[in-house]
Amino acid sequence: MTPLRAIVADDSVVIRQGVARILSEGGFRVTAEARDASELFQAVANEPPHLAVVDIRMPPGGNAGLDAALTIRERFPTVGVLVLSQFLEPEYALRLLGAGVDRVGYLLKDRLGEAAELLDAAHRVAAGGSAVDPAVIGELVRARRRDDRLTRLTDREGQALGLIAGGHSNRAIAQRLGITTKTLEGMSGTIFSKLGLEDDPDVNRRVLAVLLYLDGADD
Amino acid sequence: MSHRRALALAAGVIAFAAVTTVVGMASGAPPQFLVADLVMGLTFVASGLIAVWLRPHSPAGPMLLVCGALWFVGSYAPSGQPVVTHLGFAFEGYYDLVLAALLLMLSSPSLRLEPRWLIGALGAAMAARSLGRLLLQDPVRVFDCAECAANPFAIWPNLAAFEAVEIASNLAISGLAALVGVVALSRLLRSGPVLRRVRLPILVAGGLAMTARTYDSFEYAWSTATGALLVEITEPWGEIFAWVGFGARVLVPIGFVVATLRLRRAPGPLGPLSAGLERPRGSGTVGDALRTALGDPSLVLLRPVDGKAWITEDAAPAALPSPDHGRAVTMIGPEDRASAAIVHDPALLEQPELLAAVVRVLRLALENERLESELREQLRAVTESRERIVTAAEEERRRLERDLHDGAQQRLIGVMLALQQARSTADAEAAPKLLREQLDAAAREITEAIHELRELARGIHPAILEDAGLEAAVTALARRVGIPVDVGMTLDGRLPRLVESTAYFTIAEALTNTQRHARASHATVRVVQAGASLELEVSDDGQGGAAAERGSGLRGLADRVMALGGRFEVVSDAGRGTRIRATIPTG
Repeated sequence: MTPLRAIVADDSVVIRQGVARILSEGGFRVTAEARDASELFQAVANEPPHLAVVDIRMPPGGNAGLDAALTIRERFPTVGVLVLSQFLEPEYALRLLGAGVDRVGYLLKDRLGEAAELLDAAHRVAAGGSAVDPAVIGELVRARRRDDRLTRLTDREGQALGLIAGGHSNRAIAQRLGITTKTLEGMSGTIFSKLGLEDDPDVNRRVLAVLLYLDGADD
Repeated sequence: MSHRRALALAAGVIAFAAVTTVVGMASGAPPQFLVADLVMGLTFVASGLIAVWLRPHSPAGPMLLVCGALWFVGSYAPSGQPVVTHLGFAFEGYYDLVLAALLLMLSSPSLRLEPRWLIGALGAAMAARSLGRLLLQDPVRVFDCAECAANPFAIWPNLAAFEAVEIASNLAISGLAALVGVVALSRLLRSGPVLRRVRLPILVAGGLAMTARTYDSFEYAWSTATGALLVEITEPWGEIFAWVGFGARVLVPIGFVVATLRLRRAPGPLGPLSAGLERPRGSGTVGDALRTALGDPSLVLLRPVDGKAWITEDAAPAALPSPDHGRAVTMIGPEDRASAAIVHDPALLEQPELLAAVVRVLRLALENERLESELREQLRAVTESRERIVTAAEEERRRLERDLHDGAQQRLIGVMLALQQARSTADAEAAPKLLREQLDAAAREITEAIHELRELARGIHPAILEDAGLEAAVTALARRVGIPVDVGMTLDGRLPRLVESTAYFTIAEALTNTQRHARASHATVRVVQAGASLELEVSDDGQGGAAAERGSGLRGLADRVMALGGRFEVVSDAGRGTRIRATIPTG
């Protein structure tokens, strides 16, 4: 099987190489490294990878990485974009996801300490799915506590909801919760009806529905 | 002249008047003539006294008194007393000399008697005539000489010489009197508004008096030379013309007193002046106030620049007029470092007390103005520096946040990556369990440090505020507050950084207070952009009792808002929730 191609963009050489190493060890072939947005665009245009891991903060300044990620999503729809961020701001994650949650992820840099988490997210995004950092989901959920619909969920249902929003597959969620996929499917049906949402068999559309709900967009 | 001397002089004149009246009565003069003459002469005396009282420093009062005395000289030349007759005839008409002097003085821009030569010449001509009449004529021919009497003073009686002197001196008197009138009236036409307004009656009366003198003296010369009258006038017209001439002379002192009283009373200068100076700025200048108060529209207020040059109130360069230009200059403050100069109508110099009072008030006003502008300047400087300090603090926070994210946090993440690598190496090489546990513990510590650093940086200055604006930042902030927060904003796009951050931190501090102290179940944030300012309100349904003075957080916020020229208000009655309102200018 041909390994998935990845590009890593970060102005810090330590982080760039660290991420590249983790990805290489996880089965990716890192074809290029970029120090800023223009190098990133060049590398992507040169040979569109399956995945671009982009630091949210990059030269020339500000959150240039976020803008670069959005540009890549628009111009290279086949490239998965995983943004690494030091900001626990749902606003950024939601902005990155935009109207669709395919091939996109927003992960806090804290996850670099847990290679498995990073790789899991990287594979999901490269495979066309999504990954949103649990801390960001947590922030959204916390803000939604006032909504009594959310309080109707059991703890376990709440956990499942967080994982759904994080972009995990049913199989992965079931595995994490230690239940069967069938049980999870039943559970997610309950969750969606408790929240007054329409369940959707498409994972990405389901993630988006949950995220929008958590963001309060259905108010 | 002191009041006492003036009274003594007046008493003397009245006594003299009484004597001449008695003499006149004894000579059988008609009573209406006596009464009219007496009234006219005493008018000079009364005016002189009033003038002395109103203007102790002006020579006008004594001059009028002297005029009164001279009036009665020669009143009764045609009397039975040769000595009286001769003296009266020789020295009649000198009051016109004094009137001429008064006229020249009052019409002069500097209120000085000038030109002196004119008065000197007129006096000399009159003296020549007196000497001729006194020493050369014998007997004295007055009128038809029905009562011609011998002249006890004649030392060289010579009719031809007498007539020559009489003709020459009267021609000179006539011409000089005409010249005085012309000078006075032409000055009147060229004078400033105050002088013209005040002096018009005096100068016109004086002009008439000089005309009468001109005609009289010319008539004398003519009749002496030709033995005939210049114009045949039938009585009573001759009499009437004579009285009109006298009446014109009497108008001079009356006009003088009226004018003096008018100058004194009409402008009521200090009241309007101080009121004018107190007017709110912009509604008129100090110069306007002065012009109104002193009734001199031509007045100009000059300010010194660089100690030497002068500028007008419109900042146009100006020079102090030289004294002969018909303008007077009054300095405010010491001559060499005056705070202002008033260029005005010289007529105002006649009122030294008034000018002195105006100078005092003006000096106070200008000093006040100077202090006020200094204060305003200081206030402006303080306001600007306060704003600079707040801006600098804001910049500092922003820089600190960047440094934390791009510096310390990046390094910590680098360390975390290194630890992660060490951990995987340890796994691969089957390192001791203890080592792996230690590496895990270190990784957990680093993760915690990263979390804490992130919260710290966000508290110092949230990146999202600069990146996405006030609404996104406040929405994110509201998510993290432990109670439901309803956020409502009506913004017209992005605002200046400083306004955004001030609004943000005001809301953040208010929500922190709510969360910590208010025991509230719900909070509301409202932000509205209204014109050139941003109005924000954070309210909760808690227990109230918060005060800007108590919490250093609220105090600091109030300072910050006010440093930008905004307003800050806390309404927090016990049991009725807390409402914090701030208005921040956006311009």
